[in-house]
Amino acid sequence: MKRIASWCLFILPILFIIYPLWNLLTVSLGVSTMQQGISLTAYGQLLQDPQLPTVIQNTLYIAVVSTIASLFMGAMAAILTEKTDIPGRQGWRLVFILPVLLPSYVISIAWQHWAGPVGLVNGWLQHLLGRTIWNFAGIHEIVIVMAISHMPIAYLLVRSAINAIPGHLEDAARIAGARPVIVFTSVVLPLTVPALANAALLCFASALDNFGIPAFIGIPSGITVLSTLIYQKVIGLGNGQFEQAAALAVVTGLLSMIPVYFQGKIFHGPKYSREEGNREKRIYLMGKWKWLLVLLIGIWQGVTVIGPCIAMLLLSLAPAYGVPLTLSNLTFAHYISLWTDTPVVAAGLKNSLLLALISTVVVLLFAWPLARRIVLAPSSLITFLDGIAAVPYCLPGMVVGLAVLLTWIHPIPGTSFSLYGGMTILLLAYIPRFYTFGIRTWTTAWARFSLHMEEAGHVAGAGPMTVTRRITLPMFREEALGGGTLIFLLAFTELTLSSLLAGSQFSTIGVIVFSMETAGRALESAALGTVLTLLTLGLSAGVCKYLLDEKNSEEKETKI
Amino acid sequence: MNADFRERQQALTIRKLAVRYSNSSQWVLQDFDLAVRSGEFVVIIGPSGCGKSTLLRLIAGFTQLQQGEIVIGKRVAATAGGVCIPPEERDVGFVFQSYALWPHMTVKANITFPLEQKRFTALQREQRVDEAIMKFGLQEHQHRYPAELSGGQRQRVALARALVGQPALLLMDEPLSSLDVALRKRIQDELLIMHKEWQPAVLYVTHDQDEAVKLADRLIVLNEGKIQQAGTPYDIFHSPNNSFVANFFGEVNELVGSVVENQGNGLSCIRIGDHIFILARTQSSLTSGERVRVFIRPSWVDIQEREDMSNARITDSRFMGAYTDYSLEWQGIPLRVSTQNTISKRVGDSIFLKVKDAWSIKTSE
Repeated sequence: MKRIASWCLFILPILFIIYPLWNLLTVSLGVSTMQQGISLTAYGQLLQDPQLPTVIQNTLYIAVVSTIASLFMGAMAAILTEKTDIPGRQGWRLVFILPVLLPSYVISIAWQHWAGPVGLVNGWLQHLLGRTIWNFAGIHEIVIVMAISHMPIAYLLVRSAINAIPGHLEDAARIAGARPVIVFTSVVLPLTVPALANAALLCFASALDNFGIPAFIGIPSGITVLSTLIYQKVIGLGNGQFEQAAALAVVTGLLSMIPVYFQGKIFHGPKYSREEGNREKRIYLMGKWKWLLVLLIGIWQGVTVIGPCIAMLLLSLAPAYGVPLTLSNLTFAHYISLWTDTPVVAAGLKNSLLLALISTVVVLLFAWPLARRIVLAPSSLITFLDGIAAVPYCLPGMVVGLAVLLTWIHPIPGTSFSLYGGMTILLLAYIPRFYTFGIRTWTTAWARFSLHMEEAGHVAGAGPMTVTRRITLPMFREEALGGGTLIFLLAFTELTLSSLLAGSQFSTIGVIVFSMETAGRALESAALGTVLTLLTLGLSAGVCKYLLDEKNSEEKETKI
Repeated sequence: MNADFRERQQALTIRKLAVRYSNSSQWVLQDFDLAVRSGEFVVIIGPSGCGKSTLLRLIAGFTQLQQGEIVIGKRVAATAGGVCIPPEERDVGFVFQSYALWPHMTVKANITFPLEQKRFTALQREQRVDEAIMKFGLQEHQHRYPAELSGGQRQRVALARALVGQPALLLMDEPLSSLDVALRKRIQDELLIMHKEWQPAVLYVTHDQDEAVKLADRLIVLNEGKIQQAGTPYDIFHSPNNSFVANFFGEVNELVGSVVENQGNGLSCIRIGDHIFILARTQSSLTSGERVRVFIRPSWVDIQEREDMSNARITDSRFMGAYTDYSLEWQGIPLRVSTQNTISKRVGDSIFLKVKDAWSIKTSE
């Protein structure tokens, strides 16, 4: 039994992670089904594609600019909530991580209704000034929404780096004669540089990965990036398009490996000795300025997150597109029609819930034995498996989706039964994709757990099952809940993988919003976006606590 | 600098200090007075939570006081609700328990940092830093990062960084508590040498009595926010003010007795129980008949194997290496004694004991 489990640990990743990717590579080289030699035809055709240079340029431009913006906003936010005495820090923390929990396509919808060419803000400005002065369409809009939606990545990383700095380091600088400003620039900032570098890489990778934003904003305005190009090639399904799409996916995949490589190589954060006692963090007094800062944060949040959500809400309540909303013409018709007129929405919600639930359970279950080995019995094989598990998340979703599609679309040999169009193929993509989150969930939990507690249970006469059930799992409850909710949320609102893999019989909610948007049903997609936002907010209460890691950081502060 | 001149200067004066945490009604320190002379090594010792670390943070300026005043050198550093010079302008050195070396700076950069905050030319700075690096034997390590150093080396860097600006007052918060015993002894020796060399006034906080006795010119015993006793280590060991101090410095037999006669030369004859009369050192004011508390350290008792006389019985013995601990019953009174002599008597045997020294104080009733 134990041996079977160990074998599964090894075989499953090969079958469901390595094999599809290998398959993708072989298809791109033209050695798919027929027995033919390696050919680089697909790559050659790709190079001749006149669209490609523009697409790569777009992709890199968006990735670089949005990364810089995310980094700047995230670092500012982290400094403001963790190092100053501005009022309402706890609340701001939640607001700052909010965008990462909302699916990026919902933010895109909301942003378009807020600041798009025909958005709320433009309406006001036009009303006020009599002309359009605001025209953030196309690529700038993608950059802005991307920056907003990836800002929390930078925020969370910088924040935890700041909070890890022992207060004594700052005390030492002050007593050495440095003013608070100097303390901040010569001690606090340098110590957050590794976190900033990591955040830059992650934001960059996420920007390459993102499909929702370029799909919702880019496709209508004719701006293509790598992920949407792969999608269009697959959906177009022209002659030899599969090979070309595969070749493109391989190129994209290699591109996305660059930041991953760097992340492993260079940036190691400072390690602090865990001294007893004094873990309080030092905060800097802003004096009268703190109210101005609060005002600025309020405006910033209002413009980037709250405003768009309200614009979306208002639109979803309007009777028709372009009709100004008043109290008397306010209507819930679009919400009701989501259920009555379009039965596909209800089915999609059900499908997504089911998918998310199964994925979460399976991921957590399968991650447990590997995570346990990672912490307790690390070996080169286990480290390798850990690395393999991270691949489907490090690669852009479109690449993974295509690999899974190419692998499982063909009927199972000997039967006419194909996995495509059903729930199974989605699960085969979701589970590898989110597997690494399961591992992270359990390894962080394990790292906090002392093995002696298990050993004490064994000594007291309990068997392995009893120890796991009565001692280990109850202590991991909070982590499991937080990590599980995160996986659930990601799977529930997933769009990239399902845009390729979901057939018409088994749609996910992400795909439904996407098709509504492309069909121009703006009011209904706004209504659905609002519903998704509310659902996400409800679920995210648990995740926020998990992401902010409140268990570890006691709220002890000393003013500097 | 002229030794006489330094002698006359006060490095630190604290008057009527009181402090409590903002969310608590309990005083951490209350009615606290302290003066440290230039070049003096003062050790504050007390159990954890007695307020000793808070005191250092107050002097450094990290915490605000509620009453009293702190004068560093000739400058008023903090008064209740009035002056409060920020830490960076107080010109004191601080060695933290965790060393608090900046992990992103090399040893040399760590030591240079305090000088960069002051007006020095690059040349002066370089000279001073090189001098400090040399004195602390860090030449080979000056370009390394703190993470690459051993515990003892980190300790030296922390000390060099605190001293390089030549502050008149050096505060040290249990700086040796994270080192192992052997290394701690070695660093204590180095510390004394460095103190001779740089001559700062030191206020050193610890909970380790061996360390305190070894380092201190003057020792201050702190408990529950109040000074229990201040004096030389010798005085505190031999003439404790109260039973807290007596017990804090090693083992002690604490007995109750009454004064039979005050001989006037600092000694009194004291009766313990019904039959025992001993000669004890006393406070001069004691009068006959007064109730006293008598402290007898285990090493202040001599035990002899005499055939003709015995006044005690061995109830337990334990070999401790350099000495042996005995529990005796001394005419009905239990007494702990330690001796370096070899005694052939076993548990249950009779023995003769003689009290060589004792200290008595008035019972606080």
